[in-house]
Amino acid sequence: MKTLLDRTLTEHIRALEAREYSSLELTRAYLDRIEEIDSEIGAYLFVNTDEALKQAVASDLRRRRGDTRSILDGIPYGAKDNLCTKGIPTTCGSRYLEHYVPPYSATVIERLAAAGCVFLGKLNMDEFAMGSTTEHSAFHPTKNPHDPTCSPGGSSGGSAAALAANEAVFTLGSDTGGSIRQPASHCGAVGIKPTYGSVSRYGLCAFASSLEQIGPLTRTVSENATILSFLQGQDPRDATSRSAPVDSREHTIALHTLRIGLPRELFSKDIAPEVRSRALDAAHMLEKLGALVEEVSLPSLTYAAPTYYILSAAEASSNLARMDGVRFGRRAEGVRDPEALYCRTRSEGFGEEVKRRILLGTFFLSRDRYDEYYKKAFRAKLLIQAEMTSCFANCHLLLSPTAFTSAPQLGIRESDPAAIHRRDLCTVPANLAGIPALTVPFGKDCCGLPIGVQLMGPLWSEPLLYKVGEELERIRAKEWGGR
Amino acid sequence: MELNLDFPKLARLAQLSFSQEEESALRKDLMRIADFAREVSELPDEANSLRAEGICLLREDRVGSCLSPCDILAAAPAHEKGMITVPSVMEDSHEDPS
Repeated sequence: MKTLLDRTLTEHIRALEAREYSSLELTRAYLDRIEEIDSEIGAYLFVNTDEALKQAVASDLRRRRGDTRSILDGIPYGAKDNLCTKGIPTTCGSRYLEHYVPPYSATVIERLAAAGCVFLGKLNMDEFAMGSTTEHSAFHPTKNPHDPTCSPGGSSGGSAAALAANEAVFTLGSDTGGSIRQPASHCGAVGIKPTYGSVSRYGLCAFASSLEQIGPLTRTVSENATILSFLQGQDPRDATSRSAPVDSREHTIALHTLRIGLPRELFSKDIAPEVRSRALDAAHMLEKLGALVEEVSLPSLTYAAPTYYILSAAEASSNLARMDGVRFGRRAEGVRDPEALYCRTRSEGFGEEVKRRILLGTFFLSRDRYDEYYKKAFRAKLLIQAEMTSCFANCHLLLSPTAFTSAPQLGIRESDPAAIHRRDLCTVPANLAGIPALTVPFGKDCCGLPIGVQLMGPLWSEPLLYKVGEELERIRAKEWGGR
Repeated sequence: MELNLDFPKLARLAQLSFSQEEESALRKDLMRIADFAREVSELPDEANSLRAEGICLLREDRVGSCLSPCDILAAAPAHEKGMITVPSVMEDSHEDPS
């Protein structure tokens, strides 16, 4: 028999409406679960116990009065710790912001509060979202609930692990180069990097502003679509945010007329055979249902990993310049001049990976290197965008593996940092092109670890990605009983 | 490829300081990553003709609500008399102006 925590978002919505249980009971069940298991998993950095219980009581009161705010009223969720939450610590996984309590909330947090959601707490992450294992959190690593000797991925590792360990109904993450999709893939969750500009980033601690988006992680595809619909929309406080064109919401293509491209460059021989097989299985099964599947080539993706690294490091060095010990966050003690204050505060507050990226970003932007690196990378980004646009003139979406492997073991220290960045190849193209990308769990490897399959589509094609993603879920349920 | 790197200058520009041990480890990493990043220099010529679409992302210059000074000061690491305090930027002058 299903326990309260095994239920899907849709089931919770129905049960709350039917008064089968209250938001307070549901919230208590999740807080109890966090209390029971999180010392082992380490998904949360802050648990909002008292306030969450108050919010649940208020939600139940609204329901009794018949003035619920939305279908999500009373649903408990958690958010990555780089989303500002008024009055609640927001650390970005960094010692620099260890005691920082923001005076305002991110737009996405406000939107979910307006919808009546109950806020459970802040989730662990690689420091300032720089990393892919959550081992770069300054506080503690997070473990993968499917195998605690493995990483949940990153940087939104806490968001993915909390979901897999039943510590929230849904979670929010941010994705600069795959930071929602890769951990979702490693933890058996559904995760989306929405179209650039579709979700306001006001209140998201900026890492690489031209690339990142906020998105939901959920257990099922339809839940993901529901949560995203509450997050999307233009926000005057984020000048890059836009509302989806009206016609894209009604955009539907029948499966038997669907054309799916398999980008040759994203089926590299460096990808684990089991992971590659799952993506090919997904393509063949969609083909059996009538879709036209063909191999496509996007030669510019050869440059995607270095392009991403140059642009993201350059933007990080600029965005993190504000962390100088003056207006908020940490301040080094006993310093008598401003230059030493900036330098010592930053050197004491930032971890190794953040320092490395700031240093490299400074290098790429320096006068002597700008043309050789930054300018070239910027042009490569335009080339990737142009090539993907013309590719989508011939196919409706692209299918590929999400990550190179299933969840890696914790504690493995790679000697070559460039090798780590090459493994972001499948996820970074969507960030560079600004297009939406969805990962859906599709089977497991020989050790029982989840494997995700990625769907990418043109700008504002989220409805189509969700539709095909649901089809993959149905296939998975039929083939492997939902594994 | 050997990278001509003025590490102390780079660290100064990034406003970071490193021990000798950290510097030597980072130098190796920087070489490897710079080599990896240099792959973009092989970009085909067609990329040179591409231009970013001009999108104006500036919002109207209009007075709106903002955070209260109290909230901002509460988040500051040090403040006094309603102002954020920082170490002295100018050295104190000990000369007698007369």
